[in-house]
Amino acid sequence: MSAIPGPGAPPPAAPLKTDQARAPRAGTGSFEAPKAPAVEVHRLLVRYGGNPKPTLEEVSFSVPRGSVYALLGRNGAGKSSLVRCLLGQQKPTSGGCSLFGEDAWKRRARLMAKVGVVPEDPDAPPSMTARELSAFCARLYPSWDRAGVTARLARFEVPATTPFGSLSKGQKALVSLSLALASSPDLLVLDDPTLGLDAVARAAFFDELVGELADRGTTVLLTSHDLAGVERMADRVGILKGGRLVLDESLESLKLRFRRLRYGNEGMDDPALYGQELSAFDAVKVKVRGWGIEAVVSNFGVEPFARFCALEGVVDAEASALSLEEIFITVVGETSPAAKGNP
Amino acid sequence: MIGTFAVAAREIAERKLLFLGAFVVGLLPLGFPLAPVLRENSPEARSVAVLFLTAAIAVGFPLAFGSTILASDIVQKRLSFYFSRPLSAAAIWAGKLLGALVISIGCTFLVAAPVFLVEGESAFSSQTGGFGSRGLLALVLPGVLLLVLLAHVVASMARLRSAWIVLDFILAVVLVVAIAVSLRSLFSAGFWNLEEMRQSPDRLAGWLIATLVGVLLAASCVQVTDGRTDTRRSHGALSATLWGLTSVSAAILGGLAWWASSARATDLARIERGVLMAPRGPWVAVGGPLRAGRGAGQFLFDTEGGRSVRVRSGNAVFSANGARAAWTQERIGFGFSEKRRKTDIYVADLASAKAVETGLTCSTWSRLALSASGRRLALLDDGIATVYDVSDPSNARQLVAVTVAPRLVPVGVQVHGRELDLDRALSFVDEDLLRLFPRTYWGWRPGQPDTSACEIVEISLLSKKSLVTGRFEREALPHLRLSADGRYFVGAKGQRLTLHDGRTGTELRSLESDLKGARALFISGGRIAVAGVAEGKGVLKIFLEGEYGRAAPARTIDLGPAGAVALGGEIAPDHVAVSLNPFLRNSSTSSPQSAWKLAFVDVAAGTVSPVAVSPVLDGLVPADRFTWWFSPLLPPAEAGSPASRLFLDASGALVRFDPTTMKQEVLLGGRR
Repeated sequence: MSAIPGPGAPPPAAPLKTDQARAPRAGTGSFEAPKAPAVEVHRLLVRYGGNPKPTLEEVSFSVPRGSVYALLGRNGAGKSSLVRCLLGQQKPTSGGCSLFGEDAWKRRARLMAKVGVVPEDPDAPPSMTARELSAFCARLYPSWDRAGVTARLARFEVPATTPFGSLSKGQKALVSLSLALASSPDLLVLDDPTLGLDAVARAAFFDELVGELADRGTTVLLTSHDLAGVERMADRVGILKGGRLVLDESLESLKLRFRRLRYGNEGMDDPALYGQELSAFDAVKVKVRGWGIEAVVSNFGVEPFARFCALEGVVDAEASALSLEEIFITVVGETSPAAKGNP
Repeated sequence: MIGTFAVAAREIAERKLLFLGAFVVGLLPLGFPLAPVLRENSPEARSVAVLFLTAAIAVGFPLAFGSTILASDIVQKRLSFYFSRPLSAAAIWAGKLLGALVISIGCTFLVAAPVFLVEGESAFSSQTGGFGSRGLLALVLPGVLLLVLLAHVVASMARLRSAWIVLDFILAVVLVVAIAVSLRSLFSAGFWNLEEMRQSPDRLAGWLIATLVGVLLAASCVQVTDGRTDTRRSHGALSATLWGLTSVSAAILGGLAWWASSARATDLARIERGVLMAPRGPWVAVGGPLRAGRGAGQFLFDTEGGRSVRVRSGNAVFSANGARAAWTQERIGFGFSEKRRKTDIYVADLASAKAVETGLTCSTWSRLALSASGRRLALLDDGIATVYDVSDPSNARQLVAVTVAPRLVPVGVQVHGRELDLDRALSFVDEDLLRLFPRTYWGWRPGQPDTSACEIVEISLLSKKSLVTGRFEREALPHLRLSADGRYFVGAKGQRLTLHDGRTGTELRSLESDLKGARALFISGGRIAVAGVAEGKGVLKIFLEGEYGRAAPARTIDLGPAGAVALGGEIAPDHVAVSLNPFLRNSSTSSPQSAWKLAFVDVAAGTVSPVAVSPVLDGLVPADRFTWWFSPLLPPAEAGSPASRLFLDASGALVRFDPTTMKQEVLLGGRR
């Protein structure tokens, strides 16, 4: 079974789920009665204007409370549309999104009291300073940690009295994060918050976020192109491709499943037969090197690998883990001609 | 509400310096006495300056903030900041709107405040025709709201740049035209009175502005609550709500216009201003308020067939043969300029009850006459008499135009600054001869013609020339009654009724001087009936054509005790209808109208027969007793013609009375 469609193959109707989400962290409701997931997306369809191809098509997934869900995809894959639907800012063409069991479109105002948002483009009024923004928000939320905002801004070295419009992009992101965390949200929605940030700002951002998660166990839905940062935090990953969710799986399972295999294949004269021995692993990319074969497989297993090593002609076989970025490129990128037709 | 105020407070705080700026600018006029060029006229200059500044801010700020405070956030997708907070969409919308209003209104007041505090009310009343600060206040509040909303809607449409803009433009044009047409129809149908609207347009304007503000409020609210951060959906929600509600309003207005326009004579609640009778045939002109609040209307009405033609004017005439009618109808426009007002002339063939617009226009207060055949139409307008051949009404052809009176400066009745020569009259003697009684002017001035007399002018269509054939004292003109052949007319001289030669105006004799409230009527056989009250009794006197030279009437008939007498038509040969009222005319005694008692007088035998009137009908009087709007010079209705048998009861019902069967039938209006 593979989550990756071969080129030309029809896209799957629903994402493949190979395991369950990681159990909630301690203190996030383990002893409470079963609750609705923090996020639930059901057969979401978003179509703009007269465009025949929907931006999002039949997307369904859920994010259990306390988990960190990374929604990945190339530019234009539909991530921001999905986030806007989740935040009740955009009405889906069909299907729906719910937060904590309540319809995001209908109950947006009430739900936003439990949600912190860091948008892709920082959208606060440019004339307001961070301090004024904090004071403004404090009137709207049931609880607001104004001191926490001040402390975070100081930690980030972001001036609290400079108008938001005069801050750098990184500083804006950090102000947005400070505001998003100040209401102690149950759900944090981060829409590519580190886009355009330098390495230092990115690190500061993720450090703060990781610390926050460690402290409170907030549910996080994150979209980002910074896959290294995502890999540090995410429990679960969803990948959007062409408006469809082609993968929805825990990061742990994903990394176990996707491996790079390298081996020599003595006595194999016919190039057409290269990689046939990989059929047990659902190879998605196969390259013939001077020294042998390099393949990326999406269904790696320890026992099959032991059997693979024992195959005649297979020599010096080794399996190595892939980074999330490599897995992402493998899933959304073009597959090799050798992998075509591979289920 | 907390959210609304929080958003509004943020918008206001962001622009708080504007308040200070407005106040400082408002101080500038106070420094005018220091400027040498303004020192002498500083109070006036101050007043003008503060009004200019106030107007500039009251208009400029709403337009500026209306087009940016919400629209810019939507276009630049900054609204997501608010939508990411626990704020309802309505609170975001209301807060933004409230912010724009408070800034605009606050700055308007602050710029006016310094001068108001120093000079008081006089600074605002002297240059505004007494409109004053309260008037300005009453104007600023709704005005600012309207401008903010209009600016927001227009800016949203223009800046969101979605395909909806095409639909917006088309629908805006279509709906504005539809609403204008509906309003025009409502005025045309008499649902609203155009004259009243011209003199006091604030009520209609108030309704229109209130509706517009309501629609704009709803549209902008739905735009935010349903469109949220999706610009395309935002524009769609705005347009759908705006044009949806406007369409509904236009449809309601259109339905109302159709309902009001489709009224027929049978919808008249009662007859007012009398009945104009065609000399022959069953047609009459009637008017009055319509049932169920449909406004008011005037109609040509077929008393036998029940057909009606709406004439929308009191200026109607019939041809002597009763085959045609003509009338003027003011073109409905929204201009207030008298010069721009145009009146169209219509002709109807009564056999088909079909009205035709002749394409001829005239001023509102012109006078019309149709020849006996109805094929020629005379128009007296602005001192010029013009005769048209209207054999084919849709292709009217001018036959002659003659200036019959110089345009002087009269002091008569004035409507909208234009004098009315209501007493002017014209009538066809025959198809080729038009006779005019162009009463000139009351406001005589040195060097102008003596206006104490009316000249009688005849215009020959054959020679196309006019000729002054006679004159008579102008006082007689309001009482003018023509004989059927035009050879005589009855006028008045002081309290006396006088008989004149129709061509020369020569007074032939005094008809009556002793009767109170005397009225005269030419009846069949060249006879003249004169009715009035003398010594508490109604009296009817008959004069014979061949004996006009005799001092005494041919017959004097005692009608019995009466305080007033109404003389009706000749309902059958030798039978004249009269109504007697025991109360004096203009009596303050209650219910004099229902006290009228109908009687038929046999003028040949000299007998009076009281008529038993149906108990449901009160106080029947002859239908032409009251003055029709323009009182055209028409020959009297023929003896026994359908129109001569019409009466009005106290409730305003038009009643047909058959003298043979004594059957009484309510045709229009009244308590039906």
